[in-house]
Amino acid sequence: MSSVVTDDLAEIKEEIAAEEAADPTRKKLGWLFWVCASFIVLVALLATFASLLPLPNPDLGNYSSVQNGGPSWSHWLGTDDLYRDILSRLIYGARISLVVGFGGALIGLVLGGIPAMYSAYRRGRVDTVLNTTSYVFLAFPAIVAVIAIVSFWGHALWKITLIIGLFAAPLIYRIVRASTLSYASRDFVLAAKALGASDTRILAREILPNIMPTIVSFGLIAVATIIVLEGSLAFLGLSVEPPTPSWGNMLNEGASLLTGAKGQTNPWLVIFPATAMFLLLFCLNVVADKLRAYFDVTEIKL
Amino acid sequence: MSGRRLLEVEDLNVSFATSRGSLQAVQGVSLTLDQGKTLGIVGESGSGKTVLSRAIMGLLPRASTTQTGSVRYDGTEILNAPNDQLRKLWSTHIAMIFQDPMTSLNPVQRIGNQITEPLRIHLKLSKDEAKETALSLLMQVGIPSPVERYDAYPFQLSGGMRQRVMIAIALACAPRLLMADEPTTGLDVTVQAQILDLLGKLQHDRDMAMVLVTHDLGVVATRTDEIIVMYAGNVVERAPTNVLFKSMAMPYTEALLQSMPRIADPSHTRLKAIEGRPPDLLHPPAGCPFAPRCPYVQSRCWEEKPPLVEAAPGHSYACWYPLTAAERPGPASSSEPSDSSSDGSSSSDGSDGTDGSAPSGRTGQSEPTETVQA
Repeated sequence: MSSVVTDDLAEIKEEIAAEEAADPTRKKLGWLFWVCASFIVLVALLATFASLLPLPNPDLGNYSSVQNGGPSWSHWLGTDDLYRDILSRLIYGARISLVVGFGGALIGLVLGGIPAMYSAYRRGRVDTVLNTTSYVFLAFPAIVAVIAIVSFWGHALWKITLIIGLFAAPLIYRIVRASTLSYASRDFVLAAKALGASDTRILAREILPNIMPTIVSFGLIAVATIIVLEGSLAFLGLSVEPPTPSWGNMLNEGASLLTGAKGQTNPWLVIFPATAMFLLLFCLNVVADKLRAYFDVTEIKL
Repeated sequence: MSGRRLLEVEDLNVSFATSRGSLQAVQGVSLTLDQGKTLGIVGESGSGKTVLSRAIMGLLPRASTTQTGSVRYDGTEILNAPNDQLRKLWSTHIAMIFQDPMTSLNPVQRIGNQITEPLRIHLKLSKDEAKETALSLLMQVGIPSPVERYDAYPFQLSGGMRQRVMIAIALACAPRLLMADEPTTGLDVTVQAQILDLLGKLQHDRDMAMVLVTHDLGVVATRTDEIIVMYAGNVVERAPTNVLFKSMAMPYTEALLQSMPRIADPSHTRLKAIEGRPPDLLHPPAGCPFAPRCPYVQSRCWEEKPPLVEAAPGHSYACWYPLTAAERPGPASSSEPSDSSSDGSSSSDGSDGTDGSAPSGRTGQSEPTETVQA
């Protein structure tokens, strides 16, 4: 008897799966999402395992090779004016961008997101104070403030990450607070409360899963924005100290050779880091947007 | 009194602080409910039914409301009790079914999770035990193929199904008191009857007390033991169900009943709506709140607010000039099986006989005053 029932169940499940597979309106992330997501993962893997790869030292040039050389078999992306391999510098430089980008966004999410959920759910005086504070922070031009702090506190990677994270927090606070507010007074939250769920449980189990799509997609855009911010800092010479490569300071160094001030021009020094940064930002934005659309309930299939 | 007294509300007042002043949403409401009994709270939109039920639950926001009076659950005062104390009652002692099944389930959590969660928190069941209980609950509320539905998301279920799931969640921890706040408003009529019958059956099986909040007198007619009619935050009539339908005294109750379509009426009969609007609760009128809309209004109604008085054992109303037997709507009594006895043979009608015996007394003020004293 029971085996018949389970057989039926299995059959029904297969049918449902077949229907879903055949349904052309079913939401898909699309090939572009997968290409972009793969690129981000590839960059992350390369950066993580850079020291295991057969790459020349990014900080020390090999003086027997060509100075300011274009792409060649021995140096795929060429060399800079200190004979250093650009591909190697690019891959090591990705570490800085990724650490500052994801680290800063994570710090921002923790410092901004968690208080935002509590203050939006509980309201009251704490909410008023935090809300006003976030406006005060947002009224400050972040890049100027970051430049000011970095220039007297120091350029260590963790300091830059922390400061940028601090300034990302109020923005993330606003986004998370707004989306929490739109769920906090929903019936199912009240229903959960009436079932005896604690505030923390309501926030974690009822509200967080609902605002997760917003957090993920906005978080990825925050990563992209922070990478640009780090790039700007590096371009101004305020990020990690040379010779440690970062895409921003590679651009900075390359820019001085672009005009041929030293009698030489090497556009590759600018083209490669700029392309790398562009591709990474593009991919982050595409992934964020596709994820948002994928999880967006209002675009539900009918 | 068959069961224990579970719920006792005394002189409950709820007011909201608004930017335009204090809004009296519930005024001096008293009620009692015994184990296994059903109380109906009836009134139109904005009459304070939902606020009353949420105040009893302790679910109103504390910051913006003032709640005075007393709400006792099983002898314990729970009005304005801290959330920690209420959390021990919620779900295991008092549970609530919300108005709209479309919005009362978390859209991103599977049905199974939502049912097992209270079981695991309150009853400390293991994952497997909770799942087993949840499946049996889904079965009890009449959900076909519960195993499949257990892993479904709310959007994959119809409205009626979702309300069944809501009921299953509310009943998960076997509460002794169930607050059903318009449990069928969001559903179509055929499903309404199913859900109400299901609630009645489960209530009977579990010997549970239930508060059924609705705007539909037809819903409460056959499913409650006692009915409270609310208007503008006040209780205007309170009586055992059979007494209320036989000898309603308050013109508002009559108006509510008449505003329902009747299947026996010839087609194209115009529905009798209640003219006007409920009063502005920020500036409550001096007299009877129903006076502006009452077909029987007299000068006294505008000046003095009628108190809620017990005219017969169990039957109270707030009206200076209660309806007489002759004025009561005919179809209402004919819909009751015992309409022949409504001429005055039953004990409850005996008291109303004082009004009925002096129909001319409606214009004078001495007769109703006597009723008040009685």
